[in-house]
Amino acid sequence: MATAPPPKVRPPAPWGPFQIPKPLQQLFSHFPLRTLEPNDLPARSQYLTTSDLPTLYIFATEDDALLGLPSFNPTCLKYQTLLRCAGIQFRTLPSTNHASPTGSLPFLLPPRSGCSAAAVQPIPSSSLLAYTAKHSEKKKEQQQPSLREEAYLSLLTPLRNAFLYTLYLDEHYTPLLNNWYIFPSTSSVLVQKTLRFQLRQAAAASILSSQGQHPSAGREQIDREAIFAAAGEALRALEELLGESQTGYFFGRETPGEFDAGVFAYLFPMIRHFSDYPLGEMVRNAGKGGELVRFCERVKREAGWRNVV
Amino acid sequence: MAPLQLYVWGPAFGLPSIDAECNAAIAYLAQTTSKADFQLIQSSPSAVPTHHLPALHDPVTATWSSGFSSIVRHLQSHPPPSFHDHSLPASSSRALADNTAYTTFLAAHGTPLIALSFYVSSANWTATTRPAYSKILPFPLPWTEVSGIRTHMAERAEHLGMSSLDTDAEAEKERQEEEAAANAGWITVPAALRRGPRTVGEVLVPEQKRRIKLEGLVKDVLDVVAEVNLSEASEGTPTTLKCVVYGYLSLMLVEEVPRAWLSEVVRQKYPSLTKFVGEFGRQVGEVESLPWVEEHESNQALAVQTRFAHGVVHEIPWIGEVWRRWWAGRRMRGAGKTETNSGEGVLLAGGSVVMLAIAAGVFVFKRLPRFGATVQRWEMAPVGFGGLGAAGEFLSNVFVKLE
Amino acid sequence: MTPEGELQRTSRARRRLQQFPFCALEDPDKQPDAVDKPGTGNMAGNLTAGGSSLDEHHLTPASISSVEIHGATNTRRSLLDHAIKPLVAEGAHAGSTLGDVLERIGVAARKLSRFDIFKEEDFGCFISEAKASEDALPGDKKELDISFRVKEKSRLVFSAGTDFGNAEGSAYTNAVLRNIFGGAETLTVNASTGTRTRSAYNATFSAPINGNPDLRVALDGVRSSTQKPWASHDEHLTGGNIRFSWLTDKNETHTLAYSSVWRQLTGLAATASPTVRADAGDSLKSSIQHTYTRDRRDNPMLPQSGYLFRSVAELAGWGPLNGDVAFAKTEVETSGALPVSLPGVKGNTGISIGAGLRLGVLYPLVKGYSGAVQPSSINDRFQLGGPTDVRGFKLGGLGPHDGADSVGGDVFAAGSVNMLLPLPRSGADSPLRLQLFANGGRLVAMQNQRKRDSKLALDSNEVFKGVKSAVEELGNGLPSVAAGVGLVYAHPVARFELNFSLPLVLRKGEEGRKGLQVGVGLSFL
Repeated sequence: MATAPPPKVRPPAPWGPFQIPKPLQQLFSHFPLRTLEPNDLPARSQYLTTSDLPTLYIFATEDDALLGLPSFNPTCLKYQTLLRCAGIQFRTLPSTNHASPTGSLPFLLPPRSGCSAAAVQPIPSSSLLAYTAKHSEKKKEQQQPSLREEAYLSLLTPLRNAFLYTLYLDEHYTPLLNNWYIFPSTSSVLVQKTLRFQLRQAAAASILSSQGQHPSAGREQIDREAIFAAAGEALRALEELLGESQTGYFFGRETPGEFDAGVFAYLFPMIRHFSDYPLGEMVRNAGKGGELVRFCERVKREAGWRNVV
Repeated sequence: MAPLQLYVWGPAFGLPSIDAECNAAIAYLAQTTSKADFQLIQSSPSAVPTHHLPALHDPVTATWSSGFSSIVRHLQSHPPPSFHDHSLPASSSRALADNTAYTTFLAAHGTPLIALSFYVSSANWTATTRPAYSKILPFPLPWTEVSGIRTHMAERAEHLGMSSLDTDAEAEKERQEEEAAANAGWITVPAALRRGPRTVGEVLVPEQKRRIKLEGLVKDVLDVVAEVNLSEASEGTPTTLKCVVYGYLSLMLVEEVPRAWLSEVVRQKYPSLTKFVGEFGRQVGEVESLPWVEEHESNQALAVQTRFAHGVVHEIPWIGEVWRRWWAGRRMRGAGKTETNSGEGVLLAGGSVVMLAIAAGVFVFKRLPRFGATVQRWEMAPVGFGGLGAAGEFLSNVFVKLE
Repeated sequence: MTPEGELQRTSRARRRLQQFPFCALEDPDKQPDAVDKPGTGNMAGNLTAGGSSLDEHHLTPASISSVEIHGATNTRRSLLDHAIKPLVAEGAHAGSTLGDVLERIGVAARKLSRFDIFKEEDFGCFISEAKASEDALPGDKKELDISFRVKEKSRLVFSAGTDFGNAEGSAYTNAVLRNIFGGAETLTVNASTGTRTRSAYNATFSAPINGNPDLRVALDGVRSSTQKPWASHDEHLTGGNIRFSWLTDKNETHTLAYSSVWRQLTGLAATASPTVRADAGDSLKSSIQHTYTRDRRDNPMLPQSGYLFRSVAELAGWGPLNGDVAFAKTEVETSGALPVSLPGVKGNTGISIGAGLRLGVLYPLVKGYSGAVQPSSINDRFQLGGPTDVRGFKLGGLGPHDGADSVGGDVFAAGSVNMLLPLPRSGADSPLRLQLFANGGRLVAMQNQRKRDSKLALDSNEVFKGVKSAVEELGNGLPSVAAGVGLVYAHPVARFELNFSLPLVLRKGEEGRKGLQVGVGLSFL
């Protein structure tokens, strides 16, 4: 996933606060003579940034976002699922990584209204869990993830690698890549080509780096079989782990938690969009078969996406 | 039957390899396979087609597998005659799942810790890690290969927010900020005047200042690893997991670094892990007792020179990139992988054609005659000359000739 | 204002045009041998000798017999033809006087120098009487031989230095390949970095069309990264344009350009407002732009009399233009100055009163051929305020603000009045002036007339209503106004201002500047 450069904290003005002479200060305090009502924000800004509901900015098509449909981006989908499962009302809008305070989506903008709304700071994804806990209608005990959960959480890495490989480096899915990330950015063919190239480079570097290889080694050095073998093992392990739990969610939770949302965010797009081969197939057949698909159905129901196929 | 060849980073700090994954792979082979069936070859990524170590070459199947998990997968599916992993088949599917989870966890979170200790920390890098690499790489390869390793490892530890351990980079940043301030016209206090009596904070090296945060980072990782049942009696724990734990922990326990915070924390807080690494290390055996062989001696010098030349070419912007892709494609084909990308060749050819065209253009341009002349002359329109009769005719002819 | 680079470029070009020298008439002793033929009456000597003899000769019948150009070793004849042919053309000498001839020579000389391939200081023009032919009619008609002596500028020049644009200083390195194929073709490659421009790379190839120095075509490629601190982001531009520019006989410049630019709004500050965040990302602007300038000011840096009229019209994304944004945008600027004479003071008092007015409208259009209309985004909207337009406000200090970010508007009007007074000691001829000014403006954003939470896109009726109400809003209430006094220093490179100003009227969120403000730039309101 290409991320925009991290936000820069600008250094304070080099001359700091210097003392203004008293008489001047008195003069200044008389001006401006009149202060009028503020200018209204532009139409685009009003639509995109003011709402009575909090706004979650995600990767999605404009129509999907309007309907609140699941994002195709795993990280966005994870937080979208968490917020929905917590019963928080929010709207979604499509955006890009350039917009995010962390350099990658999603982020949440608290509700603000009025034409020249007061400045509100966006909530980055790293603080969304705390936000969810604070605003959730369904009060539930916060449980610290166990050490075993931490270990299993790392299984998302091989899933992510397989996801990235399929979407970015498998030519078969180029139309999907275009529809998700390229076409919404621009209609110019040249810019599309550049963006696609940059995204593919970034995806390859990310995969290589997570496997301990040098990120500049190039996509030719990515061992496709190894990636899918690792993803398969991860899926089997997750299926086994899910089987241990009696509740239908991981680690015996009654409702989907962060771990469930994280796993769902990878599995659901795999089933939904990569069903041709090999990832959708792998999810459906992992372990004894079918359990992970049923898990996705449960989370979907819980998140209110009953009708999403 | 030809033995398996395992290409690894060379030994350092009394361990079989300077790299955690290589250590794990060596340990796994040593634990499961007779020494007659495999060879260890000290190498660097530029020597293997997969460009990543550890890499296993199986002469029987004529394939390369790279990375610990791939190597284990290959060994289990194409076992050499003496192969025996006593933990196979797995006692339960839960054990198998745990194995996958903990192996992945350690690979993902162990590397950043090692990166902080050996690569990000300037003191350790200069005093220990860089000399160790110089020792295991044949001259002149350290010039081209070592600097890239440090930047890459630093990137892997970036998310931990500990770049202050890299005092060189910090000093450089400070110097640049000062210069920028000076350039912008702001008066800066000379360093000598700024330094008042040194506070405790200033005397401490960054590793000491950040000790608590560092301990927290170690705890985040090793608390999880400590969950694994590693005792002798635990038949259920897969050998692969033990090997991975050994691979990473043995490096963390290295004490021959100037700032040994990592090994101190591990020894202090995780005695059982420390004990396991010691015992398991003895099972793997002394470094010298492992079946090391030299890389094909006949053309080794030439091979090193070639690798060095590649390293130099890689440093050239754009051309290095094109070259790298073309070379990688060629080697993948050599390694028996069928995925080829003919685009690379076209790109290289296209690049050369463009260069040639530019060179030819410059050459032709230099040879072009002058566009103008020292004297350029215009005459009154012919009608004017017409009035002059024959003389005018003659004159205009003269001028035409002059031109 | 938004197409900053464009305005800046044209104003520079204009200055260059004005500085071109008239043909220099030199001392006859310095003439090259080829011209200084013994026995020929040398007009140049007479011309430089004094006004009286010149006047006498002005009405003398004269015509040109031949023209020579010395030293144009690398310049094609076809290029020179355009300037020289009129001198020797049929009918050009019927009943002409010496005055006519001199004027025509002047025109040709100015044309030659506008090619910008000859050195100004070595440019010489010599006139000598042609040897009278025997069967010429008796009479006073003089046949003249004209000789231009030129020295070509170096064909490859590297330079580095500092530069001032509007509210920005920068350092650059520059390589110019001049007169590449002997037709006054120029290739300029430029790299610069500045106070707001992180980095900019620019390559321009320009050439006169049909040998006419007043009709040029230019191809331009640009890649830059600029800080926009008033809206907490950086803008990366990659693109190119093709430009035709011509100078009319009335000394008005037109530029018609097609440009295609990939804009990336990125590198947001941690405190960036939601509005800026909502507009972050990529967009391609494909547009045609026309700029018209009529400059009748006596001195563009310190106008004492005369006027300036400039208009910029841009059409983006509409119909076959495509791209990601679609709008029509037009901006008009006019300013003038009147010298003030004082009773009892003869000649130029150095006192003048000036006024300026700028108006602009952005009208969102249908992208391509059909579909809905998207409201404008931040990198297309106007910004107003700053030391070079509405003084007494911070850069982008007027108009809608989201938090600390100036998010721009779709319609604006700004005006100023000022009075320039010479300083007591330095007098009217010095480039220093005391300035009293009052200026103000409004910057208004288009509103969506519909209720919220439907779709972002508008239909054309809603756009019309939105723009109409935004224009009406301009006159609603007092404009935001500031006034002050300051010093003006008009350097040939740029104008410097140091002002003390106070905001009189502002709107909440707008950022006035109380106290001192420094302005450096080429064009001021």
